[in-house]
Parts: sequence; C-alpha cells; structure tokens
Amino acid sequence: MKIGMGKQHLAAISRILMVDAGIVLLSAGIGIALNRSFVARPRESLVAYTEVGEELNSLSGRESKVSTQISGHALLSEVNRIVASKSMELLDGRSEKDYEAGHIPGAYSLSVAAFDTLFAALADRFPQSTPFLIYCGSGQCGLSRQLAERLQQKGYLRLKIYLGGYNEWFLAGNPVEKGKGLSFR
Amino acid sequence: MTSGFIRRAIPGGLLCALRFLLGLVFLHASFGKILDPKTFAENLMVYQIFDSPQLVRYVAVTLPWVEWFCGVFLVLGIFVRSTSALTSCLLVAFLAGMASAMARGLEIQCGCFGSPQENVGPVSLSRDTLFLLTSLAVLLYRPDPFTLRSYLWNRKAVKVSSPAEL
Repeated sequence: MKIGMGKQHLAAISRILMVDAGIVLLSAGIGIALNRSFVARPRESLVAYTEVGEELNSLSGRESKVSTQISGHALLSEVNRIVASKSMELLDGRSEKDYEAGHIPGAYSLSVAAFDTLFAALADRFPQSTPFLIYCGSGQCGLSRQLAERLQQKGYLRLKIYLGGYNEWFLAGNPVEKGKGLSFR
Repeated sequence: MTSGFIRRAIPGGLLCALRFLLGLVFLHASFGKILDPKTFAENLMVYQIFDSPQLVRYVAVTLPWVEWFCGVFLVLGIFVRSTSALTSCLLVAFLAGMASAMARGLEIQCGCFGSPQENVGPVSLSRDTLFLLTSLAVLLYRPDPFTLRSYLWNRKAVKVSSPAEL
C-alpha cells in the first residue's frame, strides 16, 4: 500500500516537473524569439555597455562627424578599476546641485550647462591627450553624450561614456562622495 | 496531511479566489517586464547576483513570460498544481534575492512589477511572503471545482454518460 502511494506521489511530482519544464522552455522560446537582438547584443545600454560612437549618432538623431571617434565602453566593473587606479579622469555632466548631492569619488563636476564657462579651466589643467570617463545620472539622461560631443568638438578624443551613470554606481553600493568635490570653477 | 489541514482551515471558495488573485498578480507583474526587458535587466543587475550579462539578458526575456503563463494558468485554472509549484519556487527565489540584497545593505529598486518606483524593503518582503503563503495554499489544496479543467472534465463526463441515460 505504502509502495503504491509512493509511486503515485512520484508520478504526480514527475507530472508537475514536466509541466513546469514545459512552461519554462516555452517562455524562453517566446522571450528569446521576440527579443533576439536584445539577447544577442543589446542596442542600448544594459547598464553600461554599448558601442558609444554608434549610439551617439542614433540617440542624438543627427549625424555627427566626430562622434564615431569616441571609442570603447565602460562596464561597472571597469569603472571600479578606473576609479581605483585613477587611469582616467572622471567627468560628471550633471548639474552642480546633483553633483554635490553625491558623485563618484574623484570625479570633476563639469555641468553641460556651464561647459562654455568652465572649459577654459579644463583645458588649462588637462591636455587633449587626457583620457576621460564621462557619466551622468543613467543611460537615459543624455548629458554624458552631450558632454562627450562638446569635448570632441574641442579636440578631446580619448573619451569613454559610462552609461550606467551615477544611479547605477550608487545603487550597486559603491562609495560616493558628497559636497563640492572637484570643480573647474 | 498538510493538504487535509489546509482543506479544513480554508474554504474552497476562498482558495479559488486566492488562486484567481495570485494569477492576476503574476499577470500584472509580467506585463511591464515583457514590454521593457531592458529595464528589467537593469533591475536584475543591481541585485548583483548574476556575474554574466548574457545570463541576465536570458533571464530578463524568459522570466516575464514564465510569470505570464503562470498568471494565465492560475486565472483559468489549468495545471493548477504545477503552476502553483512554479510560482512558489519563483517567490522563494524573489524573497531570497531581496533578503540577500537587504543583508548586503543594497538600497535598490525592487523591479517586482516592472516599475522602478519601489525599493526593496520590509514592505516588498512582506508582500512576497504573503504571495508565497497563498501560492503554497493553492499548491497543497486539491484544485477547487471552479477551474477550467474541471469544467471541461464535467462536460466530457456528461457527454459520455448521455447515451447510457437514454
């Protein structure tokens, strides 16, 4: 009797597992089929990886001769390494108020709105060969892309954009700095 | 034995309502994620559970559809036991993810319903625990008579028995 019950339970569990496996496989099939490009290689930022030059053209909605010169992309892990090793200068393209509320340690505040006033100080301090990592709030904010374009126009070509931005950095539990920090004023 | 206890403790009609509500919750949770897998992937990334972005992308496009199927099956009452077993596993995984994020001191958005507004915290943990208990009750209880499956079975039974009755 007990053996019979055991077999029944086993059969019931097998049925449950088979149906569940079917649901998961069907879901994976539909999900992958409907999002093939995203699964293979996301067009826009999945946190931070995107070929920035290509995105600059498509997202700004206009052709830019210099945008394709922006090379590379920055993952969160890479940004961690960059911040730790100080191998690139970090530029925060958000407003000064947002910057003071919290920014990635070691980043300079260079608000896009104040670019024209602050650029001279940046040019004095950093030659055109300086590599910059630019970020703003997130991939959606667009300020980092605008800042990259402005810098390219001024001849700074070693640029990377961290599309995950401050939001991702903060949400990932990384250390942040508050206050005035580094500025070109 | 557990099943018998639940059967005595919760009326069948109430369990049917719970199954229906659980189905609606899963359906609601799936829509935003199906429409915007990229944002869902970003929400998954901030949990810092997955090392591989490729894995995140596969999970981000698969999980919403699993939720959608679970929702549809629970609402209609098809494969109730299998579906509730799956929803229970999913809810345990969600709870583990949130608890782990809280334990690591991450202040992150839940992404539970595709909306980025809600942070992981006691509210989201309690809500998912409630859903888990509901799901377990549906799993351990014998499927209620208001399911599509039992409706179809009854119709079939009537058709088969009709000639004999004549």
